[in-house]
Amino acid sequence: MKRPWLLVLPSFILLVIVLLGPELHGVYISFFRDKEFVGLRNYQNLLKEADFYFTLWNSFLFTFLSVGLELVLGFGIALLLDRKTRGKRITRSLAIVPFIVTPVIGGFAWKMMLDTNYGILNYFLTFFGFPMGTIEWLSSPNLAMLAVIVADAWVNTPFVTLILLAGLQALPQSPYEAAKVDGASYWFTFKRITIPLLMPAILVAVIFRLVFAFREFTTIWVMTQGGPLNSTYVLAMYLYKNMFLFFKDNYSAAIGVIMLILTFLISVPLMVKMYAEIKS
Amino acid sequence: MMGRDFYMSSKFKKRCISWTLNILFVLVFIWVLFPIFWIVMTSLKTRIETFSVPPVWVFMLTLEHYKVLFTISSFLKSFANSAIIALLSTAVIVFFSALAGYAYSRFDFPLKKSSAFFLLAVRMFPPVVIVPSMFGISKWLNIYDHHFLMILLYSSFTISFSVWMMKAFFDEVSIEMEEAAMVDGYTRMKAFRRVVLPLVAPGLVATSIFTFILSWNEFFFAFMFTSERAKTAPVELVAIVLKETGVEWGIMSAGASLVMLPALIFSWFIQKHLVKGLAVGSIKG
Amino acid sequence: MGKGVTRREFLKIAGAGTAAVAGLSAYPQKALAQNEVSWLMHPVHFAQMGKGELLEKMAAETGIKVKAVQMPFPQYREKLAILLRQGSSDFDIVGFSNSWWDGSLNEYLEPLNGLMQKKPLVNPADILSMDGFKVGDQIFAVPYRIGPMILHYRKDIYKKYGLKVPKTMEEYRENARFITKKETGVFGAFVMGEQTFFSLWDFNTYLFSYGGAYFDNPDLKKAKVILNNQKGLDALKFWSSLREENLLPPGVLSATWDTFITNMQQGKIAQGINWSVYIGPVNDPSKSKVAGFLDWALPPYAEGTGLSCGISASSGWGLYIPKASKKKELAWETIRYITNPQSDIYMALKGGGPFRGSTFSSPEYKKFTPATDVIKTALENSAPMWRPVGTIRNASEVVDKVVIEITSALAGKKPPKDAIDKAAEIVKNVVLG
Repeated sequence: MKRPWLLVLPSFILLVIVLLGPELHGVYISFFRDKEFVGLRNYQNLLKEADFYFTLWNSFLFTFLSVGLELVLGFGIALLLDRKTRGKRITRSLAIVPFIVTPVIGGFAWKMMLDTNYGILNYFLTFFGFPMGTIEWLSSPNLAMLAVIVADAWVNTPFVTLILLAGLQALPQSPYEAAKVDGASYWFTFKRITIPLLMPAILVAVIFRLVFAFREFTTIWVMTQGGPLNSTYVLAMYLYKNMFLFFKDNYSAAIGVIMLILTFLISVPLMVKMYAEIKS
Repeated sequence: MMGRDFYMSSKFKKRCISWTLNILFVLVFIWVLFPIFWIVMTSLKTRIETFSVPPVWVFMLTLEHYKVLFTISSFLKSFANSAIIALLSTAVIVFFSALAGYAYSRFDFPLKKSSAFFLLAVRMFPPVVIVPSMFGISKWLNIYDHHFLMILLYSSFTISFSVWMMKAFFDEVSIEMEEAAMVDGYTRMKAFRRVVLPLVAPGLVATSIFTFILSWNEFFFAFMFTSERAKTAPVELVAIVLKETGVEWGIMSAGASLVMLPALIFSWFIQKHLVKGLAVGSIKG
Repeated sequence: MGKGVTRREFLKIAGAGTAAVAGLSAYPQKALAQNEVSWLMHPVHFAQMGKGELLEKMAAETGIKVKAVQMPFPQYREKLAILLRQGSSDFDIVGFSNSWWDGSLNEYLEPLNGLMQKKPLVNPADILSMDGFKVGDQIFAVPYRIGPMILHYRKDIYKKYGLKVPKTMEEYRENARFITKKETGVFGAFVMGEQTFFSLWDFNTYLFSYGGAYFDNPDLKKAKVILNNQKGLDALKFWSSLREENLLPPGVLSATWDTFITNMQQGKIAQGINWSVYIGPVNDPSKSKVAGFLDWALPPYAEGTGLSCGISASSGWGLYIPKASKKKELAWETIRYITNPQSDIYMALKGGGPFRGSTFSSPEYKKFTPATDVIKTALENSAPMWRPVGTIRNASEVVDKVVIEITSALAGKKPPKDAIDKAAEIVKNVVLG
């Protein structure tokens, strides 16, 4: 067909108008300090800050662990649900239920469930020999990060499940029939047929989850506000604080640009792989 | 009587597998639903019961929290706002992304690769940074605290993902499908509508659910950019809940339960009708 | 053929889109009436004004109408800060708490001295803790919901073990030790240890009650930081000792004001130093297991300080007028009305935090809530947050960093001496430059 790019144009116009302008403005002001051009000074200051490296580490920890967890769980759940022949709609609706909870509310709900003295989780653990009040989920610098990862994974696993389930259900039957005829085992078909065919969907899910998890802020803020003792203080929160609480617009813009670069670094290898997949 | 043969038989293996899968299914069920169950339970308890240890499982259902919510007219209005914003954003996204995803999947055109990359690249910038400039722009255009602004924002937030996802789904459909249809006399777009689209129905369903939920649940930008006119449900809920007499867990749970409903209804609805609607127009048996 | 269809489809979308946009845009903002002011507030303020009843009363008496815009607490200050810094004239009155008042916002607020001279407040001497809203001699806000910290305690437990109401910090800790040991499942003290300004607030009470302060001079140009003098160090040592000796319920590092209320309601703590405005919820029979078993007293002070009452940071909400407002006179009239003696009593009876001495002495308020004398005295003895200064520039940044230090000491991860020295250094660097 002639001019296929017309189909793509509306999406573009939308993005350019709404996002690109303000973002370029953000990059622009990162080189200033209150109307005065300072070049890379904001970036230099940023790289000298101990907080930057600290939050960066927390961000990486949070991002990779929660996305990893989501991928494993999401894939598993998708596979399980795909097998169900009855009540497909119900199971699919159920699978996405955590996603339906607003992250803010989800954060509050988990905060309530993880409460050291009154939380339901600690109550269940009393049966395993941990009296109420001994395990401080959100109070303990060691456990808080774990708690936040689990809560975030709970909210976001359905995202992965949804994509992979849809992908599974749209898979063609023929390769499987051929494999069955050849007497292939379940694991063989899984490794050699399912995963490659599903790769585009998997990559989409992972790339987007990585990007979103890296900038995740609301859930953590609601649950711990970065504590205790900065154990859940992620880079996105550092940006937030500098922008909205310390009013350092230029410095924050620089942080934003750094986050942009980091997000690229995290996702570009995957995107390249995605393109390779498409070619084949 | 149960000899070695029985335990090695494929029938036994199959039963084991089936049992394990059932157990896994139950575990998944619990993982996914327990927090929700807990929220709903809390919404029906009084505050004393909520914090009792051991937890109170059997109790008198109290609807006091729900009653409070229904008397707050701004809460109901915020539901309407959220509905308008979420539905329109979803409609826009599904339409745009289906077309764009198809184009990326099937055709070649100048700047194809870089534009696809651009779609993702634009979204890599932390959105928080655009708040101040967006604030100024929206005030200048007089669309601050307006549904239209939120629709614009949410559409642009989800378009990249939706396009890429639809593309991935279109990729899974072999191009021979349209070619066969076109040989039969269909135009490109007709083939698209009648043949290909039904086959990517699961993808459309996923995209629309995802967009709807995201628009419905989004908090930060809704908080920053809405006030009286277009306040959305999550923002209103949090406003009601955080009082200085203590976080109103009961009302929050009740509100959360209510806020969840439309998204659930939407997913149910879309799965039923979208798939059916597309199947009707499909030529594939 | 193909091209034609595509272009048509495209135009269809464009047409529908524009129509939708146009349709939705025909939904303009309702403009404010001539005699109407717009007031940004926290939902709890709306509640203490009888959900708008007081405002209607004001409209009837003065002819000024108020458009109340409520905003939820998380991110309230962020949104407010943006609004102010962008010079928005959306609001004529904004209410915010001097707990998180960042002095950097002062340039966007209107000093009220001028308006006050032209039309003074009703009986201004009656208003307590105006100091917390001053910068030098510029007054930026009038308080309208304040509360000091007081000692909440379980009188039934005191009676059971023959304990006396503690006057000093030492006595307080002794009681706490006794109760924690003897009464199973109940702890003797409470501390807010969350990594937010709440932990700083909590600590300030101990700091000031030990005679400590942040600066030695209210004029910041001449001041030195004295946070880490002997008094400050003793205060921090005492504060952390409460956790070291396990006198606090588990979960200290995520404990906040809501935790205090819940723990008290569930009978988990027998003593706690926290805000007076929580008397209502902890004594509410529909929410609290221990309603009716509580009593209140002045916050304890440290021995040897010569004090007669513990000192807490006078925290509260004030009414400010943004510089960009176009209706400052009307806004001021509104403030005058809302802060007059009758309004204060009205709000106090609806669960507000009174700010006038007359309210505390009024029979209606005395009937409404217990311990009015305690609250009044504690309020009269309270000090500004950054004693002796009410507000500082870059307060958010200072709070953010100092809180890490003190909670580290609280958690036992840092010796109190190191923590308080580092905290003092932070204050010096950020504030005094």
